[in-house]
Amino acid sequence: MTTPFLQAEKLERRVGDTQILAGIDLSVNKGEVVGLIGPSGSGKSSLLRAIAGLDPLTGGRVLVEGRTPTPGDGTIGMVFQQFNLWPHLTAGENVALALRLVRKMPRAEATERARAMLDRVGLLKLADRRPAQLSGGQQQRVAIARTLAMEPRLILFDEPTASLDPELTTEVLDVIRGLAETGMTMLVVSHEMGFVASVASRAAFLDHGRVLVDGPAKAVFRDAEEPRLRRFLSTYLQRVAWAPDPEPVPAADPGPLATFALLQQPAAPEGSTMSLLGLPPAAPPGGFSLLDSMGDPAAPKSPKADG
Amino acid sequence: MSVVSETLWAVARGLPLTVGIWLASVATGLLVGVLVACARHFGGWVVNAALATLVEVVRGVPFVVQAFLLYYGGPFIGLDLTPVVAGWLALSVYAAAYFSEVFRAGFRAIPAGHTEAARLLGLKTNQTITRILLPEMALSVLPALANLAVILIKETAILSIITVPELTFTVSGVGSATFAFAQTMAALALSYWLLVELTAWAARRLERGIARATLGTA
Ligand SMILES: Nc1ncnc2c1ncn2[C@@H]1O[C@H](COP(=O)(O)OP(=O)(O)O)[C@@H](O)[C@H]1O
Ligand SMILES: [Mg+2]
Repeated sequence: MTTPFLQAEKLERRVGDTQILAGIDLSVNKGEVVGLIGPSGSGKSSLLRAIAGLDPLTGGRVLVEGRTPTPGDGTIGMVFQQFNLWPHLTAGENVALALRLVRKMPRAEATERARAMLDRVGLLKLADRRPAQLSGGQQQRVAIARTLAMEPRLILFDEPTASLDPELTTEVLDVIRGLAETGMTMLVVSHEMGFVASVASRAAFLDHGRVLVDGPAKAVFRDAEEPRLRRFLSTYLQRVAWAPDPEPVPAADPGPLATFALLQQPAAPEGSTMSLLGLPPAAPPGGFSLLDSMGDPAAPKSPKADG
Repeated sequence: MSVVSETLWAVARGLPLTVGIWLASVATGLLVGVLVACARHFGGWVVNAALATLVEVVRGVPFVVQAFLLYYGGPFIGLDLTPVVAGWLALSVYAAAYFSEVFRAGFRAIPAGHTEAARLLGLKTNQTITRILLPEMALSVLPALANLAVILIKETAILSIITVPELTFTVSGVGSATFAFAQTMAALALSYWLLVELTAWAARRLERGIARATLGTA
């Protein structure tokens, strides 16, 4: 296996005077989970859409196992921020429709498989509900089931939890985490840094249509030498700055270093997103140190962050 | 024969043709309207611009002029139609232009992501249209379509001037022969109004049916 599973070469997309993608190279191996991070407008969605073939490129090419995928050829599945369920169909019908029309499955078989897929995301009981009768988190899980049913080789997630309340975010991220454990190859755009750091094996930082940093997820968060990445990550630290902090912070610039320290807090048993961020729902037992684990390689880490 | 019985007899003779031409034109207009809207929505800008021009022309010319042009002008270009066929054709074209605009608005109101999701899952464009987009917009376009259908009922009256023996033609014939203009026009007004009420009632029932099918609500 020398050639990567997905190879994006010099992807360029220009609309009028706007350079949306400015020569992006990205390769992903089979079974790899790559997190894409970057400020709003940096081109994350555009990159996913270009890989999926939804938007035309003005340069470069996308290869999956040496071939350029076309939308609908079964290679790539995509999960959107806005779910994009079809509102007139029930959850089960949303999942079954492509099985019937594309896979030509008989109705009964498609329904059965749709139910199995919904069961996988924990929604078997709600198969007969329409999207409007489901919560955002449930809708997104239906959308994931709908994508999984077609057995894509690669799944692209475009901010799958960005329009969800925090408590609904967890249930969706848990589904994605489960998929990662089955070896599914995935590209995940997310602002859930803790999630990216723990689930992704690699992380790429985009800014102005370019990949500025690309490396092992932990290294990207820990080292964060690239100034724009540093600035970007430090905004996330500020967002969790309310966390109890009994120890004085030695570094003048807490920045991304401290962010990573947060990420390295051991996960709660249920593996919730909050715990991945190092922010247990209740007050942490025995105090809570931001930088405890930084100087100590043997510090407990989230088991899934090691993968 | 009394004026009343003559009028009733004229209504009985004219009504089936009025309803027939109207239903046929609505059906043809819906079909062509959907196709035009699809072509404009999914076709390239050339197709869109060409069809937009056609729609503008049809909407920009009074229906009475269009009916006249088709029936009396048609023979000059080898289109020698009977009044009924010319009437059906003219009304269908007119209906299609307006219906297409309603469907176009329907397509535009659906988030692009619904189509993109279908595309990535492997659905063909025609499957996406018939299985996702049209059912999804059905409930929201129905009132506008029903409104147009009601307007078209009354446009059929114009076909009397190209000698289609429909309601207005037969009933106003009685008026001219008997000079009982008020009574015959009243009968005419009542007949159209009843048709319109019937249509509105049918549209309401249809709306409930569509709501049940697409929203799962009664
Ligand atoms: N169709 C388009 N036409 C013009 N500009 C676009 C288009 N799509 C996206 N952009 C621009 O490209 C940039 C990247 O957008 P996007 O990929 O959505 O960023 P992100 O997902 O990282 O927030 C933004 O500046 C956006 O305004
Ligand atoms: Mg985006």
